[in-house]
Amino acid sequence: MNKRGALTTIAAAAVVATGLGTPLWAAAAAPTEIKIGAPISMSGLLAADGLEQKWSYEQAVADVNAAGGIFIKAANKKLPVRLVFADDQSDPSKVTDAMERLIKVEKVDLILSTHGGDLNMAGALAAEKYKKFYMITTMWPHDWGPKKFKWSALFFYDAAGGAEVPFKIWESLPPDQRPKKPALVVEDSPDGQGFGGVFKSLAKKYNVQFVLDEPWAMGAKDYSAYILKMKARGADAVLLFGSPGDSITMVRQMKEQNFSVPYLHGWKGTWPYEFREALGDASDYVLADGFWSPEYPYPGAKELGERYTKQFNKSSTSIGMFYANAQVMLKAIETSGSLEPKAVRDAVAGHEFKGTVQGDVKFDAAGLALITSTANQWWQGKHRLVYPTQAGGWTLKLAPPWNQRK
Amino acid sequence: MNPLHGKLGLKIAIGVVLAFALVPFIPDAHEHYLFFYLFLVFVNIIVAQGWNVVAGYTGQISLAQHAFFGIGGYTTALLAIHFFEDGGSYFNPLLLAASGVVAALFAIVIGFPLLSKLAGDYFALGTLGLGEIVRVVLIKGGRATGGSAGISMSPEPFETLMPHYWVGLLLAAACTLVVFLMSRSRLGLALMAVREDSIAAAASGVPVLRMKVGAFAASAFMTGLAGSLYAFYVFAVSPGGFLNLSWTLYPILMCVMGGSGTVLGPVLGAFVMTAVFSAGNVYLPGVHPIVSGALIILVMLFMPSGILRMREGRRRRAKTGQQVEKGSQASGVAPSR
Amino acid sequence: MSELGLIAELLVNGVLFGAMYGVAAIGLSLIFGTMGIIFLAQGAMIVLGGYAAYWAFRLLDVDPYVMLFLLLPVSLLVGSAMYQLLFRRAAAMQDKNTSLLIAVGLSFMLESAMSLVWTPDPRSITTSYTSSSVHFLGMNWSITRTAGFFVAIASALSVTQFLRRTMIGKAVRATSEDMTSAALVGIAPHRVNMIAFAIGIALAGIAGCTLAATYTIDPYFGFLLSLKALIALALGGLGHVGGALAGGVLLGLIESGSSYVFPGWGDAFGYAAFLLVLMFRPQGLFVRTVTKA
Repeated sequence: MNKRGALTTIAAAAVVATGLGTPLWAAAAAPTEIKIGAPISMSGLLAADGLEQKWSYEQAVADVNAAGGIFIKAANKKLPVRLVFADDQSDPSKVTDAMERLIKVEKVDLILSTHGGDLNMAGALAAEKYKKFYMITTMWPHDWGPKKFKWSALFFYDAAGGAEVPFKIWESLPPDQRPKKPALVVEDSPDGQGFGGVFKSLAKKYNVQFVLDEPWAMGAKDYSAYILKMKARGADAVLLFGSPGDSITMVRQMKEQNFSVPYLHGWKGTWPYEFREALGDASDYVLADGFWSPEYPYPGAKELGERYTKQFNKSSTSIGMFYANAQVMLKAIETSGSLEPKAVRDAVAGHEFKGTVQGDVKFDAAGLALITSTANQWWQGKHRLVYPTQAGGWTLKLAPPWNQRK
Repeated sequence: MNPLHGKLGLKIAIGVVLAFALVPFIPDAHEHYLFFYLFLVFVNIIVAQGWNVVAGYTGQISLAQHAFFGIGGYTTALLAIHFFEDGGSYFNPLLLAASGVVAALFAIVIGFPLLSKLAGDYFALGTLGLGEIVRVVLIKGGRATGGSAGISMSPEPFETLMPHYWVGLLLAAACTLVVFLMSRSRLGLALMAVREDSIAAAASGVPVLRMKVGAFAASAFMTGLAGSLYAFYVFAVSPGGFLNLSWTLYPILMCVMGGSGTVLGPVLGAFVMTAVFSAGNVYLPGVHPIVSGALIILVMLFMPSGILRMREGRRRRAKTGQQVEKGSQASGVAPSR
Repeated sequence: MSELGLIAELLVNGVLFGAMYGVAAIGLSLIFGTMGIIFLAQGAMIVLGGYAAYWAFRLLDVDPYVMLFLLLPVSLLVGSAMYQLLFRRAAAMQDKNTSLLIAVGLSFMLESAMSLVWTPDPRSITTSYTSSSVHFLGMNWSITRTAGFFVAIASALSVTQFLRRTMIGKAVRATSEDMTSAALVGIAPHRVNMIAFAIGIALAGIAGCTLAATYTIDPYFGFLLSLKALIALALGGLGHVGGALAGGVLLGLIESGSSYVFPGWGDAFGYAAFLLVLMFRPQGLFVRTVTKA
């Protein structure tokens, strides 16, 4: 057989193999397991977050299965839960691919979301098309809400709530320590552009003026222009929204230029452990956003944090929220006793879920639940919870200039 | 020589298209993953044929197809939300046509200055820069373009993938037909003359610049159509999803693998590569991009002229190899193996 | 700080930063000059070199600037192997399509493989001097970036001397003019190409080490770096080594300057400059002699 024939045969075989994986006519029978699908960024730029998300979902499912599974009316007994993942390659157009595979090949009706606004928009749209339930976290409510989706539910914090955290923290400081000349540097990504506008409107509300307010080109390696400007204008606080790589570079270059501010708060880029690894002690004092904290007093929170640290040797401020996302889905299946997407969704919207690792989560009739975002301060390689303040917990430390630090 | 030329070939082609047209009538076919796969194949065929026209036939290697894909998608989305808010936008032929036209206009405006000054590698580099500029403009577009998050349309009208399949099949067949007719016409001859030797072509009276820009615009038109079609599938356009370099690279791979400069090359390439990528995604999640990269390398190493032109390619390779050998022989130095 | 001081510091930073693009561009220039291949995987190779430096530092405590020298022989070997395996056939055919696509496929593969094996998390090297700077002429000069600049100059000088003084270097230049004629006068084209390619990869290794010492690296930075290197190349003149370095510095200045005045638009200015130079002065801004189109 010549090359052309060989290749065509291989291709045909590939197509047939994929096809054979999916029977054209599904047999209807009593369910023997609960299959939940999840598109996850297993490769591409967001793979770091994706893998954390995958781990968290797996933990939640393992915990439920260890307790015997969930009772389903149609089977009249408790069934085990099985997760099926599909790689979305951190790409919105591949999310739809992943959803196609999950829905048409794996035949799932219930889907846990991926991570990130534009990815989740694609996923939510796909869920609307095919009428499957999509339980979302990490998407801005102001993007999801106006669409009035009927087949997804969302729990996350809203940009206003998240962006308000630094302002609230400042208010809690004694007046002489409060930053008066903050700088705002926000990257040009969907998340960044969403957040940036909110910071500005909140600044007006709190009567604060940004001495520097500039978009941040992603992936550019040189930030001297920003740092020089901040220095020149006497900035005493910096709000930084950018990727981990860029955030590390920014702090490093701040040190090189001998520029330090008492209050440096980063979103998206300062929470990963790599930030601490790359900067060492220079990472101390820096605040990071978080979806959650292992220092939360909620049931299972501390234990989940310890499980993660034991396995990966670092701490996380997001796994709790992903875990809680799965908890909500699993609990809703239990309350409705069914695997039908509409029934499960109805068991989420308008209901309260008490005792998740994220605390009590209450969904409004449209299917939205707001949570509080956290602020954590790096200290000696650990995330210490600054906001929401816990009684007897960590107090915020303001950073001294570089040459005065140990 | 090639049994696919001539009347018999045409009959086979019509038969194949009809066969595909009948697929949606199989009960529940549209629920099947293979249905989606075919839709993807059609989209890829359109983009691949677009590249085929400008690069395969006219010899201008454009690396900006993703920019036109995005322009097509964004045109559809913007028109849909601004002028068709109450519906009527779903697969509206006006929107489809407009997407193609806007992309083509863009190509003409950029094409004239670019093509009059740049040739070959320089042109390819120029298109690469062009693609990036389009991306930056879309990201910075603020409210007008939705910034980095992009724009989303309402998925209300979606019921099944059937209309996507039909329109995809129609457009893919139409584009292939256009390429077929062109390859047989004087226009096609002129384009190929430009590809082989533009100076000689100019000397023979071919309006070289106009041909190049025309081919560039035609390829942009087709790619814009594909972008529109895809926008109707995802219901959301964004710089990340549409201005992804894969929308340039994969179609190039498909076209080259199938045989660029042939009518059916892109079609074959689209079927095979989409199958391989889909299978890779299903069976090797996360590792899939490595496989694609390795595949591109292997294809380029062993089948650079594509499946349909392998015999021709082998002859050409042997000739150039002979030239180099002869040169070494003449000087008495052993050729390095 | 005075306006003037600010501008001076911006310029200095632009130059130092641009030198990094310059080293990436020199390798590209060499490969393009001899084989006409736009080696879009140069960025990925640089990132690979960066990872080598990172792991050497992390596991064996090797300083990145020491690793630079250790990596030289390795990258020369790797480059030769790559040419033999991947580009030899394409070079013979002088088929631009093929070599372009091979380079792209390689870039894809490397990025994904690195992401898979080493995770997509950004990495950086932290030694005692990496966040420090020297105070000189009233400005802060980052140690790593200044070192990077000197490495770039040294690389450019070495390569230029090699091309001008050694027999092999002259053979490389001859082959870049016309492969068939070079074969006629007794130059073995494939061997010459292989050497040029190997040097290009060695330069990538050097650039990788300085990159890892100065900035964070992640598997996906490679493609952007390749693009920037291409722009530097176009600015400086395709096929001209010294020009490539100058082009890189110029690009660094453009980006630094424009991100001061129009923050966030630095990239767009770079691409616009790219297009303009390609269209109106394709031989580059630093080449005075007329070269073949």
